[in-house]
Amino acid sequence: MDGVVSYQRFPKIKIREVKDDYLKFELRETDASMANALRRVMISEVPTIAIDLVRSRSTHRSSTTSSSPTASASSPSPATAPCPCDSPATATHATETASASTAPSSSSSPSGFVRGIIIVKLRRGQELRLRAIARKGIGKDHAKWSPAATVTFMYEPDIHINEDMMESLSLEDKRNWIESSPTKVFDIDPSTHQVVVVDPEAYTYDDEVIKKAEAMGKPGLVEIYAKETDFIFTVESTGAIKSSQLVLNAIQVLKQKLDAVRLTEDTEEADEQFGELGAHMRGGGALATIADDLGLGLVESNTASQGNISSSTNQKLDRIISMMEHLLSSGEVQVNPAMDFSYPHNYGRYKDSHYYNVKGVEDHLIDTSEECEVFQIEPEIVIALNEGEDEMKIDVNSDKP
Amino acid sequence: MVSIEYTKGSHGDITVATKKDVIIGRLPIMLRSRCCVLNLRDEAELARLGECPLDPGGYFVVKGTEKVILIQEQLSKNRIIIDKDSKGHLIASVTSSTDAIKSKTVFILDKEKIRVVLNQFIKPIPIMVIMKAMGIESDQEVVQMIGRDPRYGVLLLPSIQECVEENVYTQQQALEYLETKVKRFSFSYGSVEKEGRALSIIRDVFLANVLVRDLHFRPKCIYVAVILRRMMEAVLNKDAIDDKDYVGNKRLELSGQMISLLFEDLFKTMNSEVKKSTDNLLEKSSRSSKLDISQHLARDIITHGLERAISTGNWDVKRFKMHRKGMTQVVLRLSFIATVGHMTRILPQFEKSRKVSGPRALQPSQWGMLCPCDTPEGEACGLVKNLSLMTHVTTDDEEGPLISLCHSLGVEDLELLSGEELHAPNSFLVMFNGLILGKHRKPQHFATALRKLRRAGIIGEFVSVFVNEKQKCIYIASDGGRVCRPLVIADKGISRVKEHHMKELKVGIRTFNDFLRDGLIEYLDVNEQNNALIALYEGEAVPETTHVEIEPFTILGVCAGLIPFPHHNQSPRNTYQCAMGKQAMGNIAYNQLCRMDSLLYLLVYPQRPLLTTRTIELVGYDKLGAGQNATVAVMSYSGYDIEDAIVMNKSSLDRGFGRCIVTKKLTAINQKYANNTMDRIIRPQRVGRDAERMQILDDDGLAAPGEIIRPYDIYINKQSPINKEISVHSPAGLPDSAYKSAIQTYKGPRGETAVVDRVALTSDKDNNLCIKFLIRHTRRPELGDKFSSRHGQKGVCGTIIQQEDFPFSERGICPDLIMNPHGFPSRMTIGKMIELLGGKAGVSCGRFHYGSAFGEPSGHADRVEVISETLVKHGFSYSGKDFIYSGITGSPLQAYIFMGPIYYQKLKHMVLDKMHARASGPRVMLTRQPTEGRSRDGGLRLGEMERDCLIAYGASMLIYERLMVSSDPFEVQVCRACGLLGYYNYKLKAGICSTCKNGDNISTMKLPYACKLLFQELQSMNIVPRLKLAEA
Repeated sequence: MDGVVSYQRFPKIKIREVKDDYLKFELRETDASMANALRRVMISEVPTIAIDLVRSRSTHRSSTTSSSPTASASSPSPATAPCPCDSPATATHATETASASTAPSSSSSPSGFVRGIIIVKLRRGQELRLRAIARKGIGKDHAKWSPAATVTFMYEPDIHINEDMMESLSLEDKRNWIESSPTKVFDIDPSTHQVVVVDPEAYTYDDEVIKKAEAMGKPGLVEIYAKETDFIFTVESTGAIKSSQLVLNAIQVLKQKLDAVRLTEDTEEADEQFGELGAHMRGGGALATIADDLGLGLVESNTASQGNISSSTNQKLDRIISMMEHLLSSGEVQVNPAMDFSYPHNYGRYKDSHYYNVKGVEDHLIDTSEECEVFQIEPEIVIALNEGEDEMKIDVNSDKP
Repeated sequence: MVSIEYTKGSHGDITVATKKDVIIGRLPIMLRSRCCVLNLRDEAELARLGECPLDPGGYFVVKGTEKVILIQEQLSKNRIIIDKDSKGHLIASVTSSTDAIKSKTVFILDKEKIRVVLNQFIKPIPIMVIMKAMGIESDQEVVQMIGRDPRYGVLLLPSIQECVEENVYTQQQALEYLETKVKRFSFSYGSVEKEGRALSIIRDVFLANVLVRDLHFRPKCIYVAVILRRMMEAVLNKDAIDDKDYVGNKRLELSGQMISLLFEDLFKTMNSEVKKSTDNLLEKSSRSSKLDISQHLARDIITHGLERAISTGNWDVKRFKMHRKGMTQVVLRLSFIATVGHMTRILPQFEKSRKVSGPRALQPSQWGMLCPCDTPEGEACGLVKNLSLMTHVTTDDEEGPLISLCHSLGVEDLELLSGEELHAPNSFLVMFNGLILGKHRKPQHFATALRKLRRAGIIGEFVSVFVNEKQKCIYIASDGGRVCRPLVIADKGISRVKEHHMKELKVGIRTFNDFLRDGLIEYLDVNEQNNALIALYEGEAVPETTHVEIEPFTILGVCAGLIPFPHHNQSPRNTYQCAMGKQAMGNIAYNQLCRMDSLLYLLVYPQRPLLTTRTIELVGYDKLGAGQNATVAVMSYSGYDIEDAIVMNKSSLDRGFGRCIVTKKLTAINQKYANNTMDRIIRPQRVGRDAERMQILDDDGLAAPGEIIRPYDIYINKQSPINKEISVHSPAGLPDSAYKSAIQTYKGPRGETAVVDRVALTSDKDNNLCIKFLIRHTRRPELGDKFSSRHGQKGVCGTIIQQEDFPFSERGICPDLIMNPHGFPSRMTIGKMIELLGGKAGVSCGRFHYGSAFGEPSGHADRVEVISETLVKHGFSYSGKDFIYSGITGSPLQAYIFMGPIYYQKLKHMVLDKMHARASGPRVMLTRQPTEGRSRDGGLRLGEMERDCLIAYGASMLIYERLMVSSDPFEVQVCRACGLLGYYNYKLKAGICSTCKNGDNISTMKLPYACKLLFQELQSMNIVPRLKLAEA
């Protein structure tokens, strides 16, 4: 609409720390709806591959009951539940089973070999033969497909110390005041004896210091606000995808969702015949419902800042897209170039097959039809520990799909 | 059971033959008892035997089921109990129990006259008559024996007068008087020794516990005098009335006593059976061989008698006319704690319907002996009790040596005392197991001497010595069934257990028994506790203190011991938890997967509680837990959490929270029949009509382990012969046509995938092949499943919400479930809040925190201040509240949220087992109305009260529809002439009245089939129900 001042913002992203399974970044100049949408998508809608169907076959020499209830056979889902989301389907599962059986003696595992979660422990002379089918899916369906172990953000706190009032405190009082915070936010400069903010992000919005100041008779000693536009994200991946990839994938998914929204907006003209209903739908309702569907809590905050929503829907969507694109591009720009994006993933001996499968995931990311592609990877995992043998022989005939 | 038997032989020359190791019967052995193979086995050995080392034992395995003989609570035998009856009369009752007889003697004070009520007499007998009958003809002597206090004399006067009125002065007169009052049995056999009847009753039945040797009645007279004295004391002073509910007046009967009682009875029946059969044999004139009694021992009587009693729970002892039901129960295997709790259960002596509050109330004397929390709700509330953690129930100790010891310690014999001396001031009566032994002039001296001997281990550790100052009595008890508990002995307020003792205990040089032997610890029963001054902690001891508690948390039982910080909870909450802990799913035993229970609930990933107690460690709940540590946020969310409902995180459920396994056992028997035919199991059809339902069958016709079994699947392809009676000469060669199908199909919830877990082939008691299938079903929590914390706070799952919608903290913590804060104010379960705090601190510092009852002073429970400090150290708020963001909007919540781990139990009540709905479905044959009950896919009844509502509302069409159209509509032909029901003749296509023999006045109408049925039933009883039809 003309005459409306553009409130268009360009979110910035800055990556602070990045490891394979850990990522900390700042997201600035946007609002909670945006940040939350990203978080939600990371948890529940970034697709991965996980083992979905497990069929264990005859167990040799009656490998006790463990074969049935606890382990894989106890219906597909619980089997995969303890091994949350293994995108490198064959490999990880194989390693997991392997580690499961070798559990007592870790001697066989080479250094750098990432131990999986124990699914079943085997005794000497027992073997387990199972067929595991991995599928691509999203966390919304089952948590095993969720690549995110932890995705969380916080508002960056904005801490203002009233220096004059602070100076009126004795050193003892200052120390007491600092102690009152459960986290180490403030400290005393040893040279100047001034209270300084050491780590604003350690502040947990517990209000303890404010309460303390009031109790000391100095209300307004410190003022702490949450910067409602700045977020600090912490992302931990389960290992299914690298954490940086997780964020990128999440943005992609979000983008596609928005494309879907735009698509419905475009076709809306054709919906004139719905008359009043159509008009109603257009008037904010549509976006609200769609956005709701998508799990974006963006309507509320935008309405407040933007005013008439019906006329500017398109415009806003464009802005969100551009924001997203910007986010994406800026994210890529700011990735520490020293970080290695290629895959020297040290998952041990199954490097190749692993790499292959992950590639598969990426390929499928682009077309997100609602249906999940089934990866019929059928590794024949035969684990047998023969009499007198201390080490495991693992035999994975993973036929590449 | 093996025993040695004596047999006599032969006619003229009597020889004494001995036979060793003759089996007279077999006795079920209590698990883990001294005779059990599992006794004293260590963990590895038990594991090799396939047994769970944590199993408490204490039950029996009879006919393949585990049975506990519950502890029975009874009023103590052979003790004088002064009480008031329902009419307010003062009563002294003695329930005598000897080897030979059980009797109850009641002294009643009615209108100032004391009388004796005895079953053998038709009416109450004046007490003085009894005294005279026992040979004390002088009233003065009676008064002297009771005591010289003039008030006693005054109280006795009416009784003496009554005796005079009856003209009874001498023993002879008294006995004659009694003779007239003896209850006559319809066919009197008493005429033989008519004179003796009254005397023998007085001798053998009246106060049977006081033995009378050679008509030497003096001990009995003194006993009566003591009773009278106590009654009079009670008249003068209300405090002297005994409390029936006082635990010291109670005895607990354990399984050993129960079985010995039964065994004795069965043994005697066996003896009489043997006698009978030998008599029969001797009567026969022609005997081929010499008589050998040992051949005629019926070993079945004892074996079967015991087996039947334990498996049915009906205890019938003919000799004491005892018929008790429900003595045994099947061991609860719902959870480990239910099993342990079941072993400590005490059944009451009264029937449950009694509405009195007295026996239900918490008794102060229960302290340390019976758990104050663990009792069921409802009708058995307060009657069914449970033992505390350290309670010991005594067994009978030998009396003879103790009596002689007492005498040598200066007890003056009763025989040597005159009535006057009996109650001399400063001397105390010495009562031994309810008998008057004599008197002692230095009671305290005597008591301390006995106690010293006990501590030195010279007399049994469970002998109790109790000085009753009020009654001027010393009670010594060595009988079985008393409850007692160990306490640390303190000398002048200083505990005998020193630090070096504890060190030795820790190292393992010392055991509990060493403490006992060295006189550091002793067992006190409820009565003796009254002579002790027990300090709760060593620090609180004063110079007068005689004992120190071992640990205060031991006053609770096993079930209540699981609750962390129970002393911070409102007391009913702990009681609720005691009931719920038994329904929680978890591990049953280490060998749970090898068991074949008919129904078993298991948790898939049970955890050890983050907040433990010492009891948990002692019992083994940390090894066989029944719950999971859930991160709980106390906040309201979505409105689906009102009324104690719980909002659950879907991802948590995906990851295995609250997931459980339910296994059911299906049994099929390959029956053999009398005509030598038998069922057969045949190869399944792979093609054809039933092929689909037979998919899970192996070629042997049985369902294969590992197969997914769905409703209506056949799990055994069995056929049984059509002809089961008439004998067949070649049973094997029967043609296929001689068999009819007897397949068994699985019935379970639709749409669920249960799995055949195991198939076991066994044989039943008739040697039939018995096939057992274990069907396993894994369930994840769903809407309506019941959960509870350990604080009596149960709730159902109200909704399941995606993780991304769940609130999260900036650390990334996302709760597993959300609980509504309204659950707290009215329940006042502060313990739960502390559990949350402690759990949170435990998680962040990596140490299990403790919350034993009353444990703060002794360090068995962490203090809130310390917990808060730990929290602050790890960057949490001291209050346990977190700053939380909404998962839906991403904006911070307005309040800080109390969040942390709480141990949650999944209870066995699940929606899947209960939900039920139907539209149309099966009907009952007789009435053609819908069936009743979920198991039969029944309809939901519109009952009288609902009908009343509809009538009041005037919804007649709805009533019509519910009560007839949807139930049992039926079309009848009614004859307007005679008003009776006719029938429809399909040939003539017309209704015909069978009474009028024509079809002229037939109307067709609809009425409920039940109504038609009623008419016909009435007709069969010669009542004519006539319908008068009017035009509508």
